[in-house]
Amino acid sequence: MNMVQEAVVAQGISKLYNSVVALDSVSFTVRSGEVYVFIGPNGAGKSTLFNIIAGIMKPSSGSIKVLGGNPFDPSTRLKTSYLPATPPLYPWLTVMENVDFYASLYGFNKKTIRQEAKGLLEKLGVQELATKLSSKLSTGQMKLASIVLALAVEAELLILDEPTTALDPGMRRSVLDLLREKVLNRATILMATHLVDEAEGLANRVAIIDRGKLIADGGVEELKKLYAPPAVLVIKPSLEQVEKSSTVLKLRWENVYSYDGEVRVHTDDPDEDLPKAILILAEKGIRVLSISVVKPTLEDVFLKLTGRRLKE
Amino acid sequence: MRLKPIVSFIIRDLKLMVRDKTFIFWLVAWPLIWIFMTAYIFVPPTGDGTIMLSLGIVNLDSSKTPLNGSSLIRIFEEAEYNGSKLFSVKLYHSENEALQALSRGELDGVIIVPEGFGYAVINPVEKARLHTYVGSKTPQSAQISSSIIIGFLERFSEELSFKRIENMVNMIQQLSISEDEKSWFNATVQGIMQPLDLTVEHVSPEVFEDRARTLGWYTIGAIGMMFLYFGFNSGAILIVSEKERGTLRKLFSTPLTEGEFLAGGFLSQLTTLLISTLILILVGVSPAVGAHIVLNPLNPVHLLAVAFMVCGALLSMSIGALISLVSKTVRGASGMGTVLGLLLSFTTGIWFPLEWMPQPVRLLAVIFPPAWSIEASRRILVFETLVETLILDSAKIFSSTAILLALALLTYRNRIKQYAES
Ligand SMILES: Nc1ncnc2c1ncn2[C@@H]1O[C@H](COP(=O)(O)OP(=O)(O)OP(=O)(O)O)[C@@H](O)[C@H]1O
Ligand SMILES: [Mg+2]
Repeated sequence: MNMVQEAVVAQGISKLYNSVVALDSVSFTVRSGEVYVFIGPNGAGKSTLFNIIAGIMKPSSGSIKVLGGNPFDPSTRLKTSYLPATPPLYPWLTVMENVDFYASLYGFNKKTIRQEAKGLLEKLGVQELATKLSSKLSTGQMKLASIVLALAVEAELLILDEPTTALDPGMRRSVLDLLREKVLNRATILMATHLVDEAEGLANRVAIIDRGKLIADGGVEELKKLYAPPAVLVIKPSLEQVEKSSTVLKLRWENVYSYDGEVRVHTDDPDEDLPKAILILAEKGIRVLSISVVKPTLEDVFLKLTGRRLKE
Repeated sequence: MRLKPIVSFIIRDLKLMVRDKTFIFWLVAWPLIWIFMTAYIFVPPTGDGTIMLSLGIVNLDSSKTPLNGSSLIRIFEEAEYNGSKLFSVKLYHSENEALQALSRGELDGVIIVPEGFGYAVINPVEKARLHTYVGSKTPQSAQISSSIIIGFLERFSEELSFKRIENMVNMIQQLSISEDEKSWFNATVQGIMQPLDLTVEHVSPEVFEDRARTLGWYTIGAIGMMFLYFGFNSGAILIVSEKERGTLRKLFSTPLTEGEFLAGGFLSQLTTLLISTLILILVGVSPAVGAHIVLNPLNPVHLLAVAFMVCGALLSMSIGALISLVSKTVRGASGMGTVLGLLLSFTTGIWFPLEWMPQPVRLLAVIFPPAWSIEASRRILVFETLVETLILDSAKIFSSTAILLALALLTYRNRIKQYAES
């Protein structure tokens, strides 16, 4: 395989849907052989960006090179494989027939691709899906089938839009394992997700995208070092006292966020701040159910950068 | 352009055709329902393959000539075709009485023989008139009755001329002029009255052979109808269905080119249409229907008919493509395609004979290329027309197909861009 050093080079990519700005001058570089994960909330522009990289859509402005070529050229697309967020299955075909169909668009040998797809289904423990009609699959099974479609073709660049949504936790792990295998086979993976643990577990580098803007990218630890505190206090008061706790704590600390019945306090010195927080809350008569010190996640990076949370 | 992806589109859609019952319904069952309705209700077979019409006759003629009202009635009563009677004759005393029976649907037609008919027949300077009324138990039976009765009377009138000449010749024989003059006179009169060599001596309207042809006409009509609604429909949803299914983007993320996609789409629809055409023709010519359709793949003229069929299919799909400009959901496009297809097949002479349409509606057929292609293939396959008479039609059909196909491709390119970009 004749590999270029950079799998994707995007410079100042913008995309407008009529008047909606979906992407606003996004620039980044994905190196060959790495897993590059886009993380961002709903409507951030991830799918739009992936459509451009997959050669489906033209950017309104900016330039993009994929595997050294123009993503619109069939010769470039021959080397990429795209997994859309919604399963692209023909309902009247079985899963294997869908595989055959898409393989033929690549011009690949049907037998080889079938063999590959069969292997993938086996690794996921769902061989029985091969002969099932796509219309008869559950939501998660459709997702699995689409993943098999995307991974069965031998691609240098995998463009995976939310590959694990709709999957149960066990299946998510199996899929991530498959992706790790692909990386070992020197594929480059571009992936979009809302899930921070997924990004952290797989990514060499992460790009944080929000409202059409790429606000930061780099290695996971690098981003945490830059944007997240050394530690986070996670305080769980009784439900009706969450807001009050957050207000009280904000008087003392700068980065305090509350959601899901928890209050997260970014801290540089957890040893000192933990007893302080307990004391302050006790003084105000707030009953704390639990309190702990955790390592920051990419979610905290996102909170720090945008003041909003990622999702869920 | 690569062949492999194009073939895989055809395979993909053939699987749909086989697996989706609604496809089978619209492609095969629905046209067959119409063909069978035609064969068993509108043009019902009779035991021996002929049709007997019930005819009311009002005889007001009291002439004492050899061919008067009474002998005319006998002629009708005795008229046979292939050994079976053509008419069952009922006599009425007044025109009114007969017409009432006609309007009650008891008769297929009424013939009024006026006073003096017998004399008029032998009087060369007078016109022998018969008033004919054709009933309409059903629109279809009116069509048939009128063609039978009129066909019969045309032959009858030819025979009448013949009788008149006989009469004249007899008169000439009795004149007191020289034999030379007589034979010159004879020749002249015959030349005037009988420009053609009339040999008709018994009445046998060919209309009766035409049940098979009528059914052939309708079988091709059903195929044309299917082309229209199915072609419109599938042409209209070709791209929006991929869009709604979420497959469009995946398709164009592969090395598939627009050209391959469109070639695959057109060819797969064409294959589907031609397969169901073949099924419909086979059922049409089977004994169950008994349509007269000639289709010999070795006959180049018949291949021209096949080419017309292909054009009909391509034209319908291309018009479907234009529909996709106005209808932007699968539901809308498909509904619009089906309704427009049925409507146009009813009004442009594809399914119902054009003669049934009011004059302004007939203009539609003049400007509607799919109707040309169906009519032209019908003329070859059912009526075995000489190919020389179809030169102009061929030119019209092939050029309109090329033009509409080009418009369709432009439309689709625009649609793909539109849907991929938004
Ligand atoms: N076809 C479209 N027409 C108009 N606006 C669109 C279209 N597709 C996306 N948008 C808008 O562009 C922005 C980015 O959408 P996009 O689908 O790229 O986000 P995303 O990051 O993939 O979101 P999600 O996580 O929900 O999948 C959103 O504001 C969305 O409303
Ligand atoms: Mg998305």
